[in-house]
Amino acid sequence: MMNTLSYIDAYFQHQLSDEERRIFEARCEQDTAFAGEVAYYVTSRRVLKEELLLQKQTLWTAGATDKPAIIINSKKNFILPDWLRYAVAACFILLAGFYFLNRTQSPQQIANNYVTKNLTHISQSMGNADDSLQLGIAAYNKKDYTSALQIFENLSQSHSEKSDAKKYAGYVYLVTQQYGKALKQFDALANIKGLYSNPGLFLKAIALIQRKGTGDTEQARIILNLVVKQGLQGKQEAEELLKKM
Amino acid sequence: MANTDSEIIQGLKANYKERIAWEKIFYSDYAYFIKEGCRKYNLAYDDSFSAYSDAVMSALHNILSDRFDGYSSLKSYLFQIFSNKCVDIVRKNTTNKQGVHYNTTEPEMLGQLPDNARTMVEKMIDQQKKMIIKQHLNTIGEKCKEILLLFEDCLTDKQIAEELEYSNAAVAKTTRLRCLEKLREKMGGLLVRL
Repeated sequence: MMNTLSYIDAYFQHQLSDEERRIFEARCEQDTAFAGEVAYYVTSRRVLKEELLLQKQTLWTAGATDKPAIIINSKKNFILPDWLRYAVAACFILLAGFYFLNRTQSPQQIANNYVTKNLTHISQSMGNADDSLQLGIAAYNKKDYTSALQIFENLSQSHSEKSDAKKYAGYVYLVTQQYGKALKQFDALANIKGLYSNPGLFLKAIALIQRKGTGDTEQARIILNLVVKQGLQGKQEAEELLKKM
Repeated sequence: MANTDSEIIQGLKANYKERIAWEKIFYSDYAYFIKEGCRKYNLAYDDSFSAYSDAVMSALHNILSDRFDGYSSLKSYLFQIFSNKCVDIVRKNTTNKQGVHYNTTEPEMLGQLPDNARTMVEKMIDQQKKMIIKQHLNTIGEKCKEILLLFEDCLTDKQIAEELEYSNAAVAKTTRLRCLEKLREKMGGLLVRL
């Protein structure tokens, strides 16, 4: 019997010649007892392989905690379809992106956005087109900053109470990035008493943030807090800026 | 840092003790495939785990017998085998839903059954045979079991001889076949009757 097993083993180990293999295969078809021996050899090796796999599984997973705490043993587990999972992932990425962008905007970016959105265009009042202030505003809106500045400076010097002229002159300095001069204009504006609403301090804070000098942001924060506390013009925007700073 | 393919292959082809350690590394490196099997093929965790460990063993034996050509990365190679195993399980799960009574079958009776039922009954007979062999595997002694398992683990008779300190490969081979014969004798006529 040992010889038979050795013969079968040799066949499956590819140790027989082509001729010997043909004889082996023919014997399987004709000799039932021999076919039974082959069946035993194959089945027992299959069982041994399964046994080996079980041992390996124990060995490989020793100390591992891969298996989820709640075992997904039931095939009835609800699994989201692929498209839905991708859609959820995409939404999450978008939301995270927006959140991240909003969170990480620098104070300078916030101030720049404010200037671009609110200060690059001044509303012109109807009528009195020949009024110097309106001419200055028209020039400013056309981005003719030299003419606009000349008009606003002249007006603010000749009529010291002309708060709008100072404010707009400050705008020109701000958009042309002459922050020192812009700060002087907004300081002067903030010092004008008796105005119904005065955006001087708020605009000064914006100019400070944009200048990015040493301590500018900190000073801007103090000014913005003052604007909020005193309920000055720009309070709402100041609150928004402080939240993001 | 993850191990490179060549490090893993070198480790797997080292001596048996070292190989065992590298097998675990190889298994762990891609164990996340198991969750992928649950997700992609909607398999239960145990099924996916079974497919993965089976895939690792197949890949391992192919590497050891130089049947891994190295044209793809180990990861791609393993994933391909794993996917095939998962598909096999899915097929098995979708075709074998119903249980079958199989305790009264005789070979000549099988012919009376329609094809699908006959396939199922034959499968059950095969399973019963395997179960009997498995039960008797523990009766042949630890040494015998060890030598048979080492052979299944892709060790040649020469390597078995070195591992178990036999004088040469021929002795290891004779011992191995004697153990196989011993297992058959232990079962007596049980297997034939089935």
